[in-house]
Amino acid sequence: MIVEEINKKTLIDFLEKKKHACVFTEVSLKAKNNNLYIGIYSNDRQLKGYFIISITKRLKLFKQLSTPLNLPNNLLFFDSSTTNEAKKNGEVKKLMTTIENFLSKRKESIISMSFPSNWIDFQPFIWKNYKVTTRYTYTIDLNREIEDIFNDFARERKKNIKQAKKDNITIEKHSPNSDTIELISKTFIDKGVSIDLNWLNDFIVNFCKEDNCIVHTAKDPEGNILATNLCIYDKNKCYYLYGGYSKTHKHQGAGPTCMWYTIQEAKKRNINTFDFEGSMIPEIEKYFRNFGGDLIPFYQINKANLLQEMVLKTRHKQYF
Amino acid sequence: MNIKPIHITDIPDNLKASVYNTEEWLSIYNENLSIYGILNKNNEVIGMFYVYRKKLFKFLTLLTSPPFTPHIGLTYTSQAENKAKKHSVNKEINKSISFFLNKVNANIITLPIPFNKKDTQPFFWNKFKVIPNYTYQIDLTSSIEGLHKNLDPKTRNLIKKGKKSGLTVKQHNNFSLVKEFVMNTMKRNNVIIDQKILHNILFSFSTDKNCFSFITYQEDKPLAVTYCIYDHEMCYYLLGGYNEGAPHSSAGPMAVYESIQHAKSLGLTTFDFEGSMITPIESYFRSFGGKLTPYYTINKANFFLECLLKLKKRNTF
Repeated sequence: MIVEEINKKTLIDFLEKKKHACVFTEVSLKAKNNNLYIGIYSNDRQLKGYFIISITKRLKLFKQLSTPLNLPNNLLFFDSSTTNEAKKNGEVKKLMTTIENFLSKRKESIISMSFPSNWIDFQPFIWKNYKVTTRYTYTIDLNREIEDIFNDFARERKKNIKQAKKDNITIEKHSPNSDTIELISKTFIDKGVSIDLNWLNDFIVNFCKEDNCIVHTAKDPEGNILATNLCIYDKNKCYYLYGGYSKTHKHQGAGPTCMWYTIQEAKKRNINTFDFEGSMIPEIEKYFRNFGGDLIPFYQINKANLLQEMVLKTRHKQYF
Repeated sequence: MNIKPIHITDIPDNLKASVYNTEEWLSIYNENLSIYGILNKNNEVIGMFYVYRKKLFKFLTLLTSPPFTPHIGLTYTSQAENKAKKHSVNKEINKSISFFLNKVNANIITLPIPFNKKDTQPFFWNKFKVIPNYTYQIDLTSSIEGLHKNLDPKTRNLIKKGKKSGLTVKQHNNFSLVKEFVMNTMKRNNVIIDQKILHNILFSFSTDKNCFSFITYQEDKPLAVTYCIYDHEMCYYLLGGYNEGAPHSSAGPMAVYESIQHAKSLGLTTFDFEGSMITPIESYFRSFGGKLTPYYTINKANFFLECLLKLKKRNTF
């Protein structure tokens, strides 16, 4: 196997040929960024897969190879044809070893990169002294009956949604608009979470369309906006990306009901899975947990030189 | 939730499903093993786990899993019916354990969790490093043809070649031979094992209801052995060894494959290779076509100790 940088056109041609649709790959290809596209070739130079990386600065001094900003992971995709289990495992081992070799030859001194949840074999990285750490997301199987999905919600969550209905909170499905952007941006600012507002604006205005995006907004009987959520999707998965809440007009059921409506809408559109996109932050994790999904691990590889790792340990002990 | 030490005889029956949580298994260890109960608000034991203390360099205390046991036996029952509630129970229990471990008198903690316990976030939030390790598991509910088809072709050919050259595989109770082969194999590979515990496994724990062993013979000469333990669902490939004086590349694979088939004939659902993270062993286990299954280790020491440990265990600390 050979791993090397490829251009956008090569990747777009590959995606069309393989009929591989991943909404986040489209986000990366269409939105403004400095992402690098890495192709995985067989020995006879057939393009078999890809992943996406970005180069950032860490501690203001060092170059870091990272999961691209605004992507959940490096989107690693590989087209395997073998059906024998032992051979399949061997092929994955070889793939991960080849990716590790590629990373080891790069100039960036810090590597911190997540992989999609379907990749579980990280032994080649462990054997080369990477720290492979475990992160989590919640997903809901949308092939289940809608009543079963609702029954798996926490009691508190069901109560929120029923109360919202009782209080005549209305939920509108619509295209993302200026209210959506404003509410999401304000929520990020209020919580002290940094966000590139120009990127967000560009993403919502230029990328989000009816065929890849679902937005729901909750309003009270007076028409005041209470909460909004924005998800993007492909044929396989719907991803919860952003949520926003009004500080002045509040209702505990507003956000959960928006989420519930989006889950139902995703099911109607024959999407297989609803993915909450994390989180490792306790308060956010608890919010997502109460929607009764399956806890799915995914993995992050981390490495730097020894001294850098010791410095990084002071802030990120669980990763370095 | 409360965590309190419990005696081996106080383990409730409903927590003994795994062979690694039975009195018979835990009795093979000495006072270095500590068993803990997880108690609910009514002070009822709803779960358990155990840890093993080892001394490093005579003055550091390491908390880890017992020798020959792949994990810390964490198991618990839950009345929760829906998924959200089940997740919350998992979180609460793991949170209690992580707080408990933070107070335990130990310099280094490296604890493997059973593979079916996936939620390690409370440990992560308590500054443990959560690192995946791996084992291979074969689904024994597949047909024999399916098991055969999933073997690596090289391994399949080795088994075929071994049979053609007259090698035979027989089940036996000669645990002295198992001990001899295992000790010699470990010695050749510079692996130090606790001989007393190995003796306890083979001669105190083993009965015809919890273990089996196979030997590959060339005429009357034993070439390789396997030793597996099992409960009502899982079979674990615990020990293996080969005769250095009579090496035969087919002997080991034949004994392992026979063990897999025997485990299936017992009605067990899964054959677990018990690791490994060592490259040549991993490659050997992989060739039997199992599913790569992660399980998690939680790791922690104080900052300075972790920096020192980085020199030898960089992928863990």
